[in-house]
Amino acid sequence: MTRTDYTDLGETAFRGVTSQGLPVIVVPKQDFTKKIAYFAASCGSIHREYTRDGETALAPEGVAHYLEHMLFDLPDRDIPGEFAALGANPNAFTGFDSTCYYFSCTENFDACLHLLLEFVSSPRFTREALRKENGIITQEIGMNDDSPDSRVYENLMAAMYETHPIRIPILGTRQTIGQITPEVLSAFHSSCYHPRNMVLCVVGDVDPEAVFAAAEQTLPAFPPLPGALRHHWEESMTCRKSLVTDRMDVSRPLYHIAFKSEPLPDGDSGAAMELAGDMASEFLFGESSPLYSALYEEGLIDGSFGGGFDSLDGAAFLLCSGEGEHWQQIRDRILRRAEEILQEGIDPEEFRRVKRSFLGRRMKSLDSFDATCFRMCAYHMSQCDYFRFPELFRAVTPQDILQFLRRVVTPERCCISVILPETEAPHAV
Amino acid sequence: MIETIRFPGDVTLHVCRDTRFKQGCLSVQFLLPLCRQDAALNALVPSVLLRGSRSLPDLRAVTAALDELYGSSIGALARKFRTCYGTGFCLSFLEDRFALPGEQVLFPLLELTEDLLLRPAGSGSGFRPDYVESEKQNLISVIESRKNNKASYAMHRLIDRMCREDPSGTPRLGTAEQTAAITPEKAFSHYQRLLKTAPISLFYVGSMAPDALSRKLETLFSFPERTPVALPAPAPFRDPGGSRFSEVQNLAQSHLCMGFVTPVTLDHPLYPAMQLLNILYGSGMTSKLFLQVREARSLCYSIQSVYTAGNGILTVYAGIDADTQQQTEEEILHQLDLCCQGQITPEELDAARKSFRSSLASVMDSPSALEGYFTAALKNGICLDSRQRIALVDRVTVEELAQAARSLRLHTVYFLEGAHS
Repeated sequence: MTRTDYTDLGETAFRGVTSQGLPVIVVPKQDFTKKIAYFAASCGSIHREYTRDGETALAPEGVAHYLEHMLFDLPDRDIPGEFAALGANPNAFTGFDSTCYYFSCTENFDACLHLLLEFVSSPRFTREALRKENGIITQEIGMNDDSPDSRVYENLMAAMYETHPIRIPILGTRQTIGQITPEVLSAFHSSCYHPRNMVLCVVGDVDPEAVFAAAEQTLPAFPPLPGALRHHWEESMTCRKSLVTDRMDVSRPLYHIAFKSEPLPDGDSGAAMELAGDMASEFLFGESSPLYSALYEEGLIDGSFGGGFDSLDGAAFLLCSGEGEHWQQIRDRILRRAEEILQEGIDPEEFRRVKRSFLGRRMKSLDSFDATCFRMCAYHMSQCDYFRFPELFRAVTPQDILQFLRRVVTPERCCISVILPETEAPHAV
Repeated sequence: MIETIRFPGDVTLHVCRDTRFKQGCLSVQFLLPLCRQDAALNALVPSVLLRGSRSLPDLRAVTAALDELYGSSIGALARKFRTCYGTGFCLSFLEDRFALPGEQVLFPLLELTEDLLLRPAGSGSGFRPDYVESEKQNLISVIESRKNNKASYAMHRLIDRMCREDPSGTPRLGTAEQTAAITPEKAFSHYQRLLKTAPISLFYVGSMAPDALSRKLETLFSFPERTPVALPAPAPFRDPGGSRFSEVQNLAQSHLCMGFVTPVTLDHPLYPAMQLLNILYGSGMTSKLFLQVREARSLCYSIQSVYTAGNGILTVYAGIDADTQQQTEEEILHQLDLCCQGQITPEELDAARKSFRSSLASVMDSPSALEGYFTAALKNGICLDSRQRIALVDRVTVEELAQAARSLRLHTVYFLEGAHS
């Protein structure tokens, strides 16, 4: 494995790639008892379409999430029970463009790592287990349907995107998950969970070479090449709708206001653009921005307001959210503020201060094993090294921020999603 | 591991020195007896103070100062303990060694905190009425938005009903009605009461040596003219009697909440057994409830039990279909019955013990978790020595687990029925 020291962060990372093509990253943390391992697939709910042996397949909506559940369900095995016997807590989550399986433990790390690698890479799907899991996922879909936070976000994506599959809920629907069979899951797993499409990251007081050896020895044989996932969707930068509303039993309106951005390229250039997007959101409506203070003092926003820049495979957007009745005014004020910044330029002193604050907060977040492990995986999938963020931050210029605002924060790219209280009179749109 | 230093005026500093982290944290808590009438005031005052001081008169000035301190944060605290309420601030900051050469973070942040605490924005004899009014609206919105998350709303309904006559039922943030009735004068008077009569607890996690830190804090937080009040001793749970109640809402999912009472509280000899029982009965992916109600019978996605040792209440929550209420309830009780009979496998016992050990060990690896854990332990009177706590749990027998299970009595059941289930 190759060792890299990041002296300004006080961190070290070891990296290697196994003979089957699995990238392994280890971040040693001396004197800590907790150890955490993420085994992540660069394949999430948006990657339903893939090509294998010259044939293109389109799996049902919700397949990535269903697979995540089913991998814990090996016949004649009790995977959570086996982790528990080792004193570890396993879990998993499915995102739009990745699916992560992980555990944390304070003892028996080697055995836990072996188990993680084994259950994620060696599935067996039975109809009986599939039927059982259908009942559980149906309950999860019901829970999601009742969640205003989920609904406002899903409605936003469906209104903002025309073709990108981010417009489809991660869980799928009761109907689409009914189309999932053991054969669908097997084909999806063998194409998308190839070691070349995955990454293993461990954070904790562990021996990096032992982690690498476990990854080398535990994985079963895979075909030499994975299936090819579809990563590109033609998408205009205008939104399908500029406003979408829904009604639920909420105390007051919930809103998301988003501005569509071009997807970011992989590598350092994409990471730098993501940082510029993050900083632009801070200048525009971050807690220390003039707009945030003004809106707060005027009672148009409260502590529920916040936002940032988000990027995933084939899509990116600036998003702010909050509660209250003033989403239209807030949208207008954001647009007006962006124009002001473009006219006035960015105050160098404010730029220095915001950068300093950003860097400090990122440094603090390195104390979280989970956040570090997840970001190491996510950045690796974007062909970038997460621990290089101080250097990339330093390279961001006021011009980058201005370019971002000029391109992204425009009325045509804006979309608003609102959940109105059920009892409120219809809102004039 | 924890060093305790006392300043005049009932100000106590606890220092957990740890050099492993990139960030440190410090809580500044004013402690008051749990009292329903004060809850909204306790929750409101820190938010008003965070709006500004005389030298940093508005939010923008405060956030700009925090930006300069490498993105440090000062958050409002509102915590409930066994017999008292903690209100104040929680600070999070980058360790000085990661700042640019010659720069400090912690001491300037402490000075900023002292400024916000002691010199609030306004005329000097009261809070700014507009700040009080706006933070009142914000607090009311937070209280009312509880209904947006139905699982959390349902559990609140259950606890409110079970604890309606006990101080532990004091809503952490108060009620919307109480908040609406607060005037700037009342808020300022409560603030002065905090400064004069509330014992102050400071808890620090970070790399600074206790001596240097205490010298700085004593100059900032020493109030010799204070007359602190004593906090009440723990009292038995005031049981208003159990009941079964329900409501119907327009939801896809239904929510079943069951509340049990037990005489096993923090001082009881079976306390370690009850902690372990909660893990193997309903907490986590290897519990009886998860494996039987969710995995074997597919009745739910979420199911969990929670044990609150301060007042001796164990709750079970399950998100289910409306037409499976009875069978879910029966299965939850059946699994408890198995515990009462001592039908606990060696594997279940071993897994629960390991889970307890692992969660306690993991607490030691995060500054905020350390602060939260030790502060709660100190205020609730729990043993601070984690090795001792683990040893106690390791000695728990199956018979003690069965005794703990038998001490549980079903008290209240609340069912939030989804009309579209």
